[in-house]
Amino acid sequence: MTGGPVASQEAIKQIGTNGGGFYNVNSAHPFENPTPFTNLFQIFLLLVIPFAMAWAFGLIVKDRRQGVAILAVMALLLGISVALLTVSEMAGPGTAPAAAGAAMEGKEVRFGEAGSALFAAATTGTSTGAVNAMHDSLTAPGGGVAMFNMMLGEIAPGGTGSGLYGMLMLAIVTVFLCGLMVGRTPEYLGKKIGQREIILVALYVLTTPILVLGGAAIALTASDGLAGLQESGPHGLSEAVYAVTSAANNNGSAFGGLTSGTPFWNTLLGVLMLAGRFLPMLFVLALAGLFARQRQLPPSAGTLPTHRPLFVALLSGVALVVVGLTYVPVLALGPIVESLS
Amino acid sequence: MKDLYSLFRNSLAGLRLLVLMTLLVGLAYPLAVTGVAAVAAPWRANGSLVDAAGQHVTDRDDAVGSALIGQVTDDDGLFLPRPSAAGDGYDMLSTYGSNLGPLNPDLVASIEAAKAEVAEREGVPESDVPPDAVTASASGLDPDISPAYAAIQVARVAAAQGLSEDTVRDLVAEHTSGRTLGVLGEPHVNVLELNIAVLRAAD
Repeated sequence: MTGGPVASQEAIKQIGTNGGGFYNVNSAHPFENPTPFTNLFQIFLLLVIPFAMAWAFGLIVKDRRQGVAILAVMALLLGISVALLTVSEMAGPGTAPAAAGAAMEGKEVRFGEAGSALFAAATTGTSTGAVNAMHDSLTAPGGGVAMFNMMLGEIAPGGTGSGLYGMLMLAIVTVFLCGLMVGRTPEYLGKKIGQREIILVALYVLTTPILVLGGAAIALTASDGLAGLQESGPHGLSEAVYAVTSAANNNGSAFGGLTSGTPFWNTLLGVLMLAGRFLPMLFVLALAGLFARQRQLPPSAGTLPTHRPLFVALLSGVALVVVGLTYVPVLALGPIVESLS
Repeated sequence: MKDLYSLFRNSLAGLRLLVLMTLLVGLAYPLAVTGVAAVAAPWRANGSLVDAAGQHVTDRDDAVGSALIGQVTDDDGLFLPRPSAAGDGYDMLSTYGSNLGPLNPDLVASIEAAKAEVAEREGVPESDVPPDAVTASASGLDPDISPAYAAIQVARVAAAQGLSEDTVRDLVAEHTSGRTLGVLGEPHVNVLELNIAVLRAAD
């Protein structure tokens, strides 16, 4: 029997979107997550602060509608990924789920496919990374959705704090793109988005994809990187890409078949974690400094209202298209080709 | 000089906060939670142990197992748990799910082998073997099986224990937990508690 102060650590792990479990198998362990109710409660804990941050944002800018719009985008994107993951796990595509009759490999009976899919969507939509099922054994489209959640930059709803600033950066991209269409200097909440501002936003948006794709390229061309893979073919690629995506976005969940306890993988993932956490923060703080120096402009006739359903739809679209397109080639070679085979 | 002084003062304040918070959330908080758990829920805090009579106990020496942790048994007269990838099976010191991918040929082969084995052991067609009987759980410690897997084991267990199938079926129903609030999770049967009930009924 192994035991210890599990309960107190569990609360920290989930509410802090940290995700490091007391036991190796994390929230799949019956001592960490004994019942379907504790499963739902853990999901609530890991979502509560990121979603609350959007509401807090509305209060800080003294316009609750701005916060509600951000919250709506987070809820929409999370809802889509929960739906896709659940449908995928319940349908159980793939040869192994077909042989067994359902995708129960790497899942606990008490949670079932739906309870595991909900947890997987929530943990990758935030920067938690706790797991109650083995993600490596998720169905091909299910594992792909989990990966895509992290690639979005963990903005739906994201980590405690980091989710909000990630979403706000994309909100600025959205305002900027709309400004280009009508040929006006774009502004967000009365702050002008000029050249220096948009350069910082661009650096922010580019940092994580460069780390993820660069990291994947290094891992897949080095023999030490390939040595860690458990699977061959598209799922092997998915293992490597999932690892670098999880590290660069500070998620922490894994396709656990990958042997990452080697000097090569430890070094690569460690560097990605450091750079993936601190570089984006640097750009966000620099941008905040530039905005703080500006005076707030009153909204004019040409200002794009950022609290209407139109903006919610635009921002969701920008998140999916701008971020998604970056990763389409690598997703096509991994989870997508695996889903089709 | 003034800047240096304020840097020193701010750093000192930060250091004091670090020490304070380390003591508070690093030591006092886990101790408090552990203390409250030991008083408010002593059975759960000690690992949900049960003895041979099915009673909740807190002393490890009295227990035959934990209601939350599955265990291997080679007794063919009892309900058997799911396959496990934790060490040699249900090893608490090496909890693990197989992590094999959904298209992995080795996994498909092991599922098919397990299916044939379960079907032969229980004397049922392979199409009656439920998914949880042939797949390894996430933790490797899954204490539960599906009602469907329990159902196909009833005949074998009843014959081995000299009980009627109806008696054993009633015991399975008694130890089946439904979905929490009607929606959360899946119906599941706790193997250890069921086996204890079966052995007591056979006595």
